[in-house]
Amino acid sequence: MTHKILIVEDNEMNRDMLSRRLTRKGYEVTIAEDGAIGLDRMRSDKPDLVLMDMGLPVKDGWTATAEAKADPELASIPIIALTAHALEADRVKALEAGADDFDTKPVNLAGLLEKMEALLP
Amino acid sequence: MVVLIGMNAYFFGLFSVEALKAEGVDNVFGGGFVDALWWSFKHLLDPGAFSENYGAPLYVILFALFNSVMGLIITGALIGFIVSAIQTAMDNARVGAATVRERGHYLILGWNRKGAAILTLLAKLRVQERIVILTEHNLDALRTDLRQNARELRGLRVLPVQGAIGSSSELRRVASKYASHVLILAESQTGAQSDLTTIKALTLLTAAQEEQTQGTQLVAEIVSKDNVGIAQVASKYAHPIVSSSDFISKTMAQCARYPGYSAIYSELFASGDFVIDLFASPELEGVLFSEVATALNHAVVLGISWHQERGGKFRRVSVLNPEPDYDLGDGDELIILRRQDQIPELLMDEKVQILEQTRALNLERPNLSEVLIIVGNQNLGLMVRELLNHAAAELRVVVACKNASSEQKAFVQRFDSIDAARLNIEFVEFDLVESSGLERLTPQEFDVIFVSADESEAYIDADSRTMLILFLLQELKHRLGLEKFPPVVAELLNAESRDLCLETPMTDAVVSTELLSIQLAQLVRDPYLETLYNELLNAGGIEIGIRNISHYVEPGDRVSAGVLTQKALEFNETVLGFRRESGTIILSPDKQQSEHFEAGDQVIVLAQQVYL
Repeated sequence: MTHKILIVEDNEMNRDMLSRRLTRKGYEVTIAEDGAIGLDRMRSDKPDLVLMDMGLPVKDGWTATAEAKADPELASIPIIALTAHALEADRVKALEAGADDFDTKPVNLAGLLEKMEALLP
Repeated sequence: MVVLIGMNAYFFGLFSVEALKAEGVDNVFGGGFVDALWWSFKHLLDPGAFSENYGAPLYVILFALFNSVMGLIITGALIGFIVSAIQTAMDNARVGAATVRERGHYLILGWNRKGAAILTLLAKLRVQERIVILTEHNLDALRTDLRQNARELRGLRVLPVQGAIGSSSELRRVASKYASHVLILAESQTGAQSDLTTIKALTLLTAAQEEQTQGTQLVAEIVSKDNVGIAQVASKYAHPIVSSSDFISKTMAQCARYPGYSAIYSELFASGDFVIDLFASPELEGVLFSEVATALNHAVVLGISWHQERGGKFRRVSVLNPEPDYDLGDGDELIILRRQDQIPELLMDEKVQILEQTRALNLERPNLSEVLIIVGNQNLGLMVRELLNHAAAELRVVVACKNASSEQKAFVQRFDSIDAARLNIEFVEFDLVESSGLERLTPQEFDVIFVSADESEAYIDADSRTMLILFLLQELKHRLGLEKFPPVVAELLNAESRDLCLETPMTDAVVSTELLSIQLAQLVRDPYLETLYNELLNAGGIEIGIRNISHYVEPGDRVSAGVLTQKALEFNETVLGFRRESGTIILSPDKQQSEHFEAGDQVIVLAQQVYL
């Protein structure tokens, strides 16, 4: 079964890169450019897992994660928070917002895949 | 007709015995039609032949006279017609009213001070095709620009044409439909009005392109960032749109974060010595990015590019500085930076360390919290916004300008959406006439000082103003005996002005005309570079970072650029080159050649931007 992954990331290059790498690994990937669009896509596409960047325009990743987890319709969708290396202090903040796991950018694909597989149905 | 009339002399005794005594009358073919035709024609073409009819009958002489006079009239009219046609052609060329019948030519629509720099780069790239320039400006100014740069433009075939770039008939006149590359420049730097013309030209060209089978590569310059969205709609998102105000603001912000950035950026993109290219090889499949980044010599691997289908359309995707564990696959090409004269060499047998995991580089990140902007211009709002994007916490901005209160009002009205919670902006009255005002601003206490190009008064050269402020800063630094002074980023319009400011505290000169021209000239040839340029200047993505050598190797060590590349990959960084303490910049170094590094040397890398 092909798992559907939603990448919420504002940086085009990061989005393109992660999307290509996951597609090659056999995942079906959809994308959203900011937190608000991300929530809309979660409702419309019903992804199996969300990779959520934290520093997003319009609605940041923490707010979008908290809103998703507060919405009974979306709460069961696992969210992995992504942020830059030097901002590891954000990890606590992301987990407090309701993220199921956390990973740093730039991503180590093998490590990220392990975390994804652990959360996917 | 005149010849036929002249031949009527035959009926008035042209070949009579009397007439044949005259030197100019011959009956070689028996005095018939041919001899009459010859005689008549000769008198028409040669007025001197009339004298040879001496002794012929009166009527013959009258016919000879008629032909000779008519010959003179016709010859005079003919000469007049030719002279007039040449004159008209010359006038047309002078005022640029010529009709272009080229195919596959470069077409520059509009003209401003970037034009000459663009042509210089096209000359460096050895463009053979004719370059047609259509502008509504007087061509004398354009010709002056060309004359002043004659040496650099040697080898180019340039045809200036005068006309409105937003007119479909004028675009037809310059054969825009058949141009291989079209570059639209802002006709003026004042913004809205010029952008409207550019957008109209874009709409016309995009509509015309839809009927064509072979696509034209097009790039357009938009002055105001607010108009970029409209321009993208007009071009149906098919062509790169460059906002000059946005570009200048972003470049100045980057220069503030990394003093010396402009010199590296110029060396990379404006020197003409380097090209950004694509490199593909069957050997690359299954290889990790970290391996190929180290193994490809005579080039720097900047990133990866591939074609992607979206909504039935193929687009080229470019990604800079991917993760070291990115495994190259089918369709992947490398984006490389190389010297024009270098041929990349893949040394896959080299022993390369496989990187499983990257780690964070522990360094002090550039952070600006107090900024002084001397003399705001139309880019002020964009610059403040860009600085806010880069600021990790609160940002204090002091704008020193004339009519401070009205400037502040205009700023608040125009940029009310700026993050007011993090921004503390203050407008202070400052006039160059009162130079002591500069000391009251205490410029030495800021993290960075920006000196913008002030074109508000046409009779004062903007660069002269900027230079004067720089000299005043130098005098202040000297008078106060300050050893340390904040970085000073100055916007200049002319590259020659930069050389005159070397003794001032200026750390970076953003010669907007030079840098932007290069970007426009490269994008019209390689549109896929648009995302790369945007990424390098935008906040939050990949940036050109300048780091101390000690983060990678021990100062005093002798290592190859290949080893340096591997070290940087551990931090997910790509080495572009290094800068010696003396200021010498070495880009795309030979990866096999050992270099001796001293404590003051710096490494130039591509890296993810991080804000603390």
